[in-house]
Amino acid sequence: CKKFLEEKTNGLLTPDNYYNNSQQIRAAVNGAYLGLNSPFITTIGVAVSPVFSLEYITGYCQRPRPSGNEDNQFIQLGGIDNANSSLETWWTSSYYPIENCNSIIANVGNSTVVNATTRDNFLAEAYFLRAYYYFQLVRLFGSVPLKTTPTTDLNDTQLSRAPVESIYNQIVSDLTTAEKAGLNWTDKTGHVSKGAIKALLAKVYITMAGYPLNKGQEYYQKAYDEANQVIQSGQFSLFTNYADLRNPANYNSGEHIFMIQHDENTIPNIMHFTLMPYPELPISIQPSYSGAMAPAGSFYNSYAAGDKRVAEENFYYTQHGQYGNPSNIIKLPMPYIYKYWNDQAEISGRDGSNFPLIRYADVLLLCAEASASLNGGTTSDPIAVASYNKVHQRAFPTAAAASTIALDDVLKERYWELAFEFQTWFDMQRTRKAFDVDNNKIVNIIGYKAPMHNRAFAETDLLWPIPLTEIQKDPNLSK
Amino acid sequence: TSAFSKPSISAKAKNISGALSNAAITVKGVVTDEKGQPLPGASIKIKNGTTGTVTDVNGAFSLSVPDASAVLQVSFTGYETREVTASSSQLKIQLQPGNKSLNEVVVVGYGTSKKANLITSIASVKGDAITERPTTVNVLQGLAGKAAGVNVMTNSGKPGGNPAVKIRGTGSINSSNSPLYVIDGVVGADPNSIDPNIVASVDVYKDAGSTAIYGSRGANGVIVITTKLGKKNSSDISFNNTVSFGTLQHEINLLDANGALELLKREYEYVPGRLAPHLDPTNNFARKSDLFNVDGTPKYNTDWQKEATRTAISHQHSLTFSGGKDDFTILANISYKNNEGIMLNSYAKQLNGYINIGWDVKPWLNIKASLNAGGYQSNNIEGNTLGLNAVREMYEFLPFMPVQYPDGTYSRKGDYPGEEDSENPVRLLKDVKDVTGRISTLGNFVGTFHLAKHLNFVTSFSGQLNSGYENYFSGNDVFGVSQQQGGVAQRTNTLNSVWSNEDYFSYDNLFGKHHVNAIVGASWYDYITSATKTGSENFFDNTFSYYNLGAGTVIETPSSSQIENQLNSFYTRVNYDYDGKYLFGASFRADGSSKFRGDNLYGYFPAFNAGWRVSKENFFKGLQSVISDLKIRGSYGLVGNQEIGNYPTVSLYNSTQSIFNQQKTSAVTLATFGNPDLKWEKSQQLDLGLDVSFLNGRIDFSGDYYNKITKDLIYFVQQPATSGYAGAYKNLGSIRNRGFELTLNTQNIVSKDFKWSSSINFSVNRSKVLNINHDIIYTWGGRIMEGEPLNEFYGYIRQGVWTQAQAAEAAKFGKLPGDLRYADLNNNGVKDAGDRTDLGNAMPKWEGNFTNTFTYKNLSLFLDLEAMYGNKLLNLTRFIMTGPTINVNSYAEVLNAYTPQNQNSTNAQVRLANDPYSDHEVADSHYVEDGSFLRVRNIALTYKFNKDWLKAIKMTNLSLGVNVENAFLFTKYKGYDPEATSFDASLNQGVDVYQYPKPRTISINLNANF
Repeated sequence: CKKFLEEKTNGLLTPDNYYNNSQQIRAAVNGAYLGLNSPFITTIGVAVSPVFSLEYITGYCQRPRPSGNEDNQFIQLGGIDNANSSLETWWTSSYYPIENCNSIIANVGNSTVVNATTRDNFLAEAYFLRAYYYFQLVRLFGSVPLKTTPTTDLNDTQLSRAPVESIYNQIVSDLTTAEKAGLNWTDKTGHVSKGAIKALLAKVYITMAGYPLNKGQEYYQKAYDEANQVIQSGQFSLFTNYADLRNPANYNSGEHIFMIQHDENTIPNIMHFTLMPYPELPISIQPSYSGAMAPAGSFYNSYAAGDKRVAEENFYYTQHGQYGNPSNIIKLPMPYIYKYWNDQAEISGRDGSNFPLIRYADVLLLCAEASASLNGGTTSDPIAVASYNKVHQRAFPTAAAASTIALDDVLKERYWELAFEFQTWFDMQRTRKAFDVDNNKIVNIIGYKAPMHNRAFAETDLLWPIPLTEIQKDPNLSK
Repeated sequence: TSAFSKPSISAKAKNISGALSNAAITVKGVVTDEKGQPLPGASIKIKNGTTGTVTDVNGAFSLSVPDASAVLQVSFTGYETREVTASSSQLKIQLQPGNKSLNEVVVVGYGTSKKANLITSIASVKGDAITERPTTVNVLQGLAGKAAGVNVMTNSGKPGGNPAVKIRGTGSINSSNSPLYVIDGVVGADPNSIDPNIVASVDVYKDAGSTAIYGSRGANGVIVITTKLGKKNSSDISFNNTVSFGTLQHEINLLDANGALELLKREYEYVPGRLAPHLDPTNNFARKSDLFNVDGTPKYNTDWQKEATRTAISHQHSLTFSGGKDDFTILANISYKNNEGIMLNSYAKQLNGYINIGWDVKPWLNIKASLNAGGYQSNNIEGNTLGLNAVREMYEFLPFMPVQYPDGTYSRKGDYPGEEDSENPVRLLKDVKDVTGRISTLGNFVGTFHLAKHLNFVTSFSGQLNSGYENYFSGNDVFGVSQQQGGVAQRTNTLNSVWSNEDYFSYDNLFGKHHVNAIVGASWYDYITSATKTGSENFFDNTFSYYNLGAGTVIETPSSSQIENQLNSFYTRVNYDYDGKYLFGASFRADGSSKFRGDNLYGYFPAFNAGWRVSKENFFKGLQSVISDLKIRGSYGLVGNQEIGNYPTVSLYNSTQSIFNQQKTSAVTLATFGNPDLKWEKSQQLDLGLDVSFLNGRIDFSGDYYNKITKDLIYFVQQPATSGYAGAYKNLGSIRNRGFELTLNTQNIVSKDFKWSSSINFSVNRSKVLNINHDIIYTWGGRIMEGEPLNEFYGYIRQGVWTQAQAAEAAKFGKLPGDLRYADLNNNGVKDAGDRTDLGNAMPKWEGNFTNTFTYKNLSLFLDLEAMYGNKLLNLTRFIMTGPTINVNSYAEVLNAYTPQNQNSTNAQVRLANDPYSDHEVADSHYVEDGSFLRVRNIALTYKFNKDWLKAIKMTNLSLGVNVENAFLFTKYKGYDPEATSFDASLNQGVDVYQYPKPRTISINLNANF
């Protein structure tokens, strides 16, 4: 009878039959990337996704299609309720893939089923991704549990929050471990590359230099060095035209250091359709699921005259040809974001475009910022200045090259260049600065009321609360 | 002497004067009731013969019999049948009102029992009652209202009704709440595959005393369906036909064209001076002149509830041949049902063939074999519940649009600027096909060996093969469904095969007054199901439908799976009674399941029961003229539930896809964390019952109290995300259901020409979540929480709308006059989660069913009333359609919404979606509606033709009936029907979103026997 009752797990993968060969490890590592797209999940509301909370919180962004209280908490800075479901998505979007990384690292760490080089390259991807997810967590929530081994017993899942510094140390440790493997500087397929590792390390260091760790000079120097190594590698370059950012031929190369990989059918991108105008206008085969995000008027107006980024159909647009009848130009009621427009999606109704996570422009501006910070607010370091000029002169081709740059100019450039790429909030947090768009100056974030907000930022707004559901499941988190 | 005393003469006693003769003789006689009054219409048949007659108005009869030893069977409805030898040429036969029910045989697990000896809680429903409502398409629908404590919610108006059956409440959160079905001993058979016309009885096991013999699968009750068998030495042809006409029972009160335009006008006027597109001379949208006259009045006024529905014409036919010889019986049945749904193009068809034979092969061996095979197909028009499906569009489509414009194109909501764009319901019903079906075969072979006088050995083998399919196609021009994909075609096939073997010994003996009945046995059960799904998109032409997936240029990722599980069981039961007076029983089952491991592989399920037939005591004799039977009984036992999905004890990785280099690549992620320590969910149940029969069965009463606690709930315990998993299954928590059930069957009037009998059942169930790890599970608009009943709606109390006089107060809440005003229950000056409260329960406080049969001569009238009280529904349809920002059609009530001139309203001022927003809660007291109702479920008028007339045309029975199903509904509920859910019936009963409306069905029914 024992034999009769043996359970048959047909076609299902179980721990007993896994991590036994190179193909299995490859698939597990591929799986660890999927969490990058998890915040982009769309919920039951139209054009509602937790990912937008990261822009709504900056106050530079409006939501043309109302969606209710949860988004309003971010958009209006109404005070974020720890029951807000966006928090839970960001939390799980980090910890679930971290567990995949932990499982890979634990199971592949000493594996002999592949040769050491292959093994270390797999591990480098897992270390990078674990660092990426923890970096996301620590910046959003501050002190969170630090778990680097896979779960083996469900009676042992109550974790406590780790000091912020220990989390950053783990991130640095993971990235430096990853760096040591033999990955190439670039990876056209979209996997982790040495360029991505170093660029992320530069971002981590500059964050450690600023808030909340305030490690200062030493880390600005480290950030500068890492960014400089990326620049000196000669592997990356800015695209000449902004439209090239959207060109599928350029994915995972040139300016795109690391991206979320999409295709039209399996893992489509939500950005093209959710960012279209609301109320809907017939400018695409599928204009119905629109209205998630548009620039606040005053932020849009903060771009200087002649900035190519606000030229029609670069980062923004104010009109578009009717779908199927392009000669009929349809005026939009206000400027909308064009950064993620996908010409193919307009026709096919499917958006398969990649989403940029780390751009070379970001690294260049980091280099300039680190240098300016190291030098007391202005720098004439030729590498830093050249880096800034590259980004700035692409927007203003006729502008003269600067020879000295001020920190605030670099920060402003970051607002304009990286707008709506889910980077701005992290810049605001680590610098504790905001961009006063009405007066065109960088100000302290505390006390600044951003265009869409109902009130000024307070200290307590800088970190999001730990999701209520997680506190209920693990009361140690409220300590 | 009492009018109710036992018959004073037995058939044997009458035989004294019988003279043996070989010549045919004519016997005459008079049949009277217990008072000596003649009984017209009583039936007299020669036992084992073919001839018979009925008494005339004077109760007299005359019949030719072969000889004086012939035995006559004299019967009359409501009276005990008597056998009388034709020993005298002038017979006086007095019939006594029968207490038939006590002698009825009830099927118990692995055996049968006389109802009189039953000491467990079993509701026995005869086949006649199952088909009493002629429009019944399946057995479960027929069971609705027939047994106390059995809640059958017909949750949809689509053909077949999608009935959800719950016995004594909802006991489980993550496991199934559906009862176990047993058809002719085949455990786990599909009740929908059986034609209700061949059902002899449905026995519903409610207490642990009766279900524990089914061990790990009995926790939600067991429904045992027994099919009819042929009768020895007889032959019968039975032919049942129904033709029915279903129409929308009632329309819900939606806006007409002028109303919808008034709504739009007001939405735009939220901002003073802003004009609705049809009133704005500068807005020349494409369809403006097609839809509106120059003065802005509409050209069309379409009632979409009319356009999307029809008179559904259905017909059902069932033909049964049954009979047998001395050692052989057979029953063969073929049935066909073609049921149209009232929504266009929805249907369900079923063709079934069934045959069973019984054969006394040898004195020591009897075999029974049965085979049921059939096909079922339906067009599912309500798939994609919250999507823009046809049913939803029937509610929401704009009444000022035509079905088709004069140029033939179908209207779309987006033809009016700013409205949510979608195809109209008529188009969707026509051009989206979702055809699901199955082909099912059930074979069963039972051998009974008479090993000794009192000992049998029964062995059975059964096999089930079910092949299911779902074929979906929506064309490349259906907007919002498949246009974007260029057409979508999908085919899903499932194959599930089950075999089982049961072997048991049964022993039955009488030692003086000591009666012992026992069984002991074992069973093996093996289940395999596999599924394949393929699909493609982007078709250059719609001709291909789902017949040629290769014609699509985009191939969807195919999927397939296979699941297997096994059960191995050992069981025994012993019943003992002393003189039918003191009754005891005990049963025990050990079940082994492949779903569990190690020490938990086997679960053990004992039950005990006892009864005392008080009426058999000497001291009761004096009362017997009034209380003819009285029994007190009780049972206690432990029953299991293992319906928990597959592989919960195994950790699984999930195989999926990632994209690299814009190509699909294999990816694997962690999926579930297996819990090897998982064990069976168990329910312990106490049942106390009372069966009383008054006036020799004129009044039968049965009452039960039960207390059922499901413990070791197989509960998906949520884990912190830091573990990497959402949670894992653990045995944790408990839920209690307790209540009582009353059944009262009465023969109110029994006279010569006129009879009235009625049946009432009434049940009350209260649930309480005793322990779920202090977690709170949120369902649609509700929550499951410790200390609370299950299915509890939970949300905000709407107090109305802020008025202009309250502007200052409203501003504190960030609201404007015209915005919704919710009660600030925690008095903290903001509207937050702390303002939520209980809003009522989805399950009824009580439910009852009241059927009446009036018979006057050959004419009978049947009246079936159904009532539920206290059940709440979350009318999600009304939530979506009547909120402050509406871009679809709405309920007519929305015109009473706040305006500066009409400030005293419960509806927020209407506005466009991008106007200042009034928050609007799903779980809002305004949408949690009282669903109490009284339904005249069925009225049937049947005429039975006189048997004398029928003889001439060789018929034994012919009846013609007309009946109305779902005739009248009395309720305050604002949706179509309060008996509804759009999601699972376990934890989301009563959540109504775009319900498929129920029809009122008028049918004509013809039954003939030859």
